Amino acid sequence: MSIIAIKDLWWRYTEEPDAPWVLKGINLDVNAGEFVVITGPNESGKTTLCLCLNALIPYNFLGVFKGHVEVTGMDTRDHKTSELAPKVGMVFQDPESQFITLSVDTEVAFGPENFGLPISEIEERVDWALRAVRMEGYKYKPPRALSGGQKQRVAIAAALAMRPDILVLDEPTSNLDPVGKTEVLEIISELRKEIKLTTIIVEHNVEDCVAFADRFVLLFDGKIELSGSPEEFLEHEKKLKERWVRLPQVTELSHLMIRNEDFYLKNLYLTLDQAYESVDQMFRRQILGR
Amino acid sequence: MFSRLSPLTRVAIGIFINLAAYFVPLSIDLVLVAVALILLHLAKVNWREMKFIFIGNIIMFVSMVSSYAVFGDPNTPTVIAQVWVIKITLENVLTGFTFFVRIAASVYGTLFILTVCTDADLLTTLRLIRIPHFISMIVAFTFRGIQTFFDDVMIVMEAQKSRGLDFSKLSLVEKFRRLAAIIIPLLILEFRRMEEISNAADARGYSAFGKKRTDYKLEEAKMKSLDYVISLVLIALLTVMVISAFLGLPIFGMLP
Repeated sequence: MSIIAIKDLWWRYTEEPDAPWVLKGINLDVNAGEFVVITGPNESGKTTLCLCLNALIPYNFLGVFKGHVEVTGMDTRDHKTSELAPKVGMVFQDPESQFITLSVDTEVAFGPENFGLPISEIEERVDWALRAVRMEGYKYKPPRALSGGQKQRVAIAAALAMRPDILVLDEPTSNLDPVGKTEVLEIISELRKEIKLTTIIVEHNVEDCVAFADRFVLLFDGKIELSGSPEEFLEHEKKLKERWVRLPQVTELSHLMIRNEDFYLKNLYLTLDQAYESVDQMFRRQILGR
Repeated sequence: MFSRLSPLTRVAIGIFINLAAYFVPLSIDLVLVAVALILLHLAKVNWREMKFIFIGNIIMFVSMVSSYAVFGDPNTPTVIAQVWVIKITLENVLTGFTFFVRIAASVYGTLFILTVCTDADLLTTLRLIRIPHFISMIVAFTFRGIQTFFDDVMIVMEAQKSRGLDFSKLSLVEKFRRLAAIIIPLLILEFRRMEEISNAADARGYSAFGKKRTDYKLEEAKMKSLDYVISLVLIALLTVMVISAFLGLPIFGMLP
């Protein structure tokens, strides 16, 4: 059974009958433990889709909601965001706007406090979550002492401390400088290896996620146009370029090489390491005769 | 040194100095100011950064004493100087000086609170006195808002500067006329932040009037025996000071 089941989801931010829909008939199932990357150009409905996963839509936003969204068996129309919080941890785009309290430890403890957990368990979760994002040395720091990347790592820790079944990250690196972006992506990659948490991440840059994603979903104009494993997804070079999705450079290179019969290349490269191994083998076979 | 005390006790010390100054005579006010300065020294305040406070104190001293000297009760007996029809009496000068010392005690008492308490400590203090949690959340958002507000002002001003609007080169009248170019985007930015913070709080399960929540910091901030002793002494002292002031009892000397 899917941990997230979205059936024929429609949403618009106004009740005016002639207004355009932001989400148009979305159908998406996510299995437990899957790492799904949602990508697409701006204004395609990616953030709106994320907000539907923890009932912020329809409870915190006015509009028209049609269809069903079930998260761990709970229908989001019947359960408010605070009820879904133990199931879905969310990290928003702007690190500045989601730091609620005045120190790192109280920020990470905020979610578990709301669940009424005992203090000993809260302390244990705070320490674990800060270790997971490599921020244990900043436990008592105020937010103004942190960089953008550090704030976003604290936001991830705050979501992890709730021990959710699903982690949703809405463009967690878009407001960060290159250093902060690298820090956050490394943490996400490490968490992927250590914890098999169902993760939905919205990312513009496919290359950053291709190494650890199970599935990519292309959202355009409120509709899902493509969905599949990284290999299946990146085969659709023309479609992705039409939708302004940048392929990893090694994947673009491998498309060119596949089209050139001289290279005898059949499979796409997804990462630099794959490309290196393949080219190395080709070189040894064809040039060195080994 | 003061980190061993509960935040509530630290705030209580500062409030005691603030309040007590208004119920005791000048001699005790001077003692309170001296105590406040000693506490600030023990709290390792950076005296170089306090120079503006001292400059303010000097200005306040001159203005209060001279105001009372010139505009105070002319029928007080001990005239120490006379300029034309204005009689400067010792009693008026002492009254002005007394009120200056009281305000100085308030300033240093408040400074003590701000030196030994972080903004998180102030929130913990609210929760220790059982203020409802949603009120301390409002205060927390206010503190966070102040921190981000100035950053947002700089963002908006830099953005408008990149579009050719440089406030440093405009006259005062022009600055007022062009203020909308800063205020409107700033307001939009702040409203967006408010919505995002609210969504973030909801996403972490917060409900202002919902089920009982644990208070993680309250356990370590709880008052211990030293805190209770200090608080009881302060409450007792303040009670005696207030009663003696209202009943005119000469326990601490007479008020002016």
